[in-house]
Amino acid sequence: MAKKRFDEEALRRIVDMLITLRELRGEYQRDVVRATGLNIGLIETGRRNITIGTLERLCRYYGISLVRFFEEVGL
Amino acid sequence: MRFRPDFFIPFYRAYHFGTIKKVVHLLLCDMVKQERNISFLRAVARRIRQVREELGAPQEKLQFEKRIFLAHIENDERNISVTMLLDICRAYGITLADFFRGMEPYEGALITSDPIITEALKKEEEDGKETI
Repeated sequence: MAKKRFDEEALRRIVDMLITLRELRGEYQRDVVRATGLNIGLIETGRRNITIGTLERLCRYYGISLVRFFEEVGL
Repeated sequence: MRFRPDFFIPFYRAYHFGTIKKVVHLLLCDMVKQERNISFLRAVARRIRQVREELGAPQEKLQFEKRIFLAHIENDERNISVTMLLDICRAYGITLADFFRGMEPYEGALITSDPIITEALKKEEEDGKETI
């Protein structure tokens, strides 16, 4: 197994923020998958490193700007 | 012991990995349509270049320390991972919020957040403070 080079703690925080956003909207993972076509189950476990394209699409779907998102996360 | 005749070559050794990737991509691209917001990626690439030129740091610094090749990211407009962008921002000493704040507008950008979400986030923060 190759050693993971990315910052897992930061990714964990981003993923937690995505989960809280989804819960604030009162949606299930199923709804997000239908709307965006992203494998949100795999993303929210934090095992997969997400790309900026994916994050941008999710943020647009949740109705939050990327600036506001990272202000909330604190990165 | 496993049986390994001399004439047997695993397919991944026989062919260049890039060619296999290209063939697989050609086979799959009809089935899986890759939706990428190209204007967003272009804006990110330009913003990285802008930050680098503002702070006057060379590309080689990141290349040696973190093995991040900025030239590839800037010119190919690659869809990089969030943690890689975080590494770049940390190397330049700015936050990700600052990075996206100075970015030029792109296609389909959200300038203002959804009011329902922002109110809900504020409420949640207040609740958290009360419990603490």
